[in-house]
Amino acid sequence: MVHQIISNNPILEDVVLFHKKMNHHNFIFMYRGYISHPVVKNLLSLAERKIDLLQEADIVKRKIFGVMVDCLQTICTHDKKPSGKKESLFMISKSGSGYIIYTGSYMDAKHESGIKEALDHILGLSADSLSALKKEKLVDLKNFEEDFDLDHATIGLINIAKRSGQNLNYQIERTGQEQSFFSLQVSIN
Amino acid sequence: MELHVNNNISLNEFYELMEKHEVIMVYGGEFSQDMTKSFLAMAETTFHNIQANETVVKKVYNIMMEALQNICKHEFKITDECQMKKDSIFMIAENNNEYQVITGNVIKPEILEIIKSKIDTVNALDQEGLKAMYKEARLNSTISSVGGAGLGFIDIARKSGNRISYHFSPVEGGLYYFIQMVTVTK
Repeated sequence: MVHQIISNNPILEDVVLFHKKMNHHNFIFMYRGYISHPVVKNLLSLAERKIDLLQEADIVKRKIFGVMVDCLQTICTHDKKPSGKKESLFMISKSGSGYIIYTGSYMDAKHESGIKEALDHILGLSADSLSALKKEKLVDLKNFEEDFDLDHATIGLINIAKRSGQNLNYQIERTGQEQSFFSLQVSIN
Repeated sequence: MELHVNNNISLNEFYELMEKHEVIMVYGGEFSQDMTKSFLAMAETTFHNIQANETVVKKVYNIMMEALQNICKHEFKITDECQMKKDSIFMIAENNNEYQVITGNVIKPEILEIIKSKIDTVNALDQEGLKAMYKEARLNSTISSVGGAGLGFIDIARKSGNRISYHFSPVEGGLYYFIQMVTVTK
């Protein structure tokens, strides 16, 4: 058989392109869609299977899984805006000897500064200070706000920073009058 | 909107493709039979979120199940060292008046002709023809070497009521990447 493209719908070439991009960037897991708590449960179950298959030490697998849990929970925490785009992105790629976890989600623009301040603060702390901040935030959780819980999100981000050795980058970009897109990239070695 | 989070990877290139085709859910990674339940649960949340019509959603679920089973049957099992290349894709897109269920997976070249011939056959039939073919296939069914009785594509075509789109693209190692798209009219 001649090794050539056989198609009855050329528009599907874009799916090939998508697959090529996935392979080019060494993505081993990717999900885009609405992420709520029931979806998180299923995503974790799917990703856990993938991680189990990786030929890595248990400690690395546990780190990846722990960061995944915190990333997905963080998305759920700030993904409660009733209108606007809701599709979030969750991806894991193999990078050299380590892994990178990416998340991207829309958030209410009014929480931009809160998340930014929390992250910048976290990134400037030592491991001991992170533990102290986590304890502080756990106490603060009593002051629960109805639609957004910055303390809850901060605890998730502290956990991510601790597990990754603060190897994380973020970007918050305004996408509309009331919505921003929050991207997080966490490296695990 | 640029969604670069570092210098190496732009989330934007993925987002652009997904926005272009109005993808409402995409999964790329490992596939197995027992993962179907998780996909259905995630799709249920997605459809609930976009307040989709229940009758249409039921059709989409049935097609999803058949499509995912087809991936598990036809997916080429590659050794661990090239595990990256075997990841399959599952997508649901919403375009104007239809939903599209798209799957992609690596297959062996010898399966290509079998799949293409099955799809071309069902695409040439109307609903009555498909019904007759389904009955005949059920009566004469034997489990094939790839684990199916050959009912999957007939069932998909009957439930969809539309032609099945396919695309076979050569990949390394003499293999093909097989993409199937099934549309369900809203």
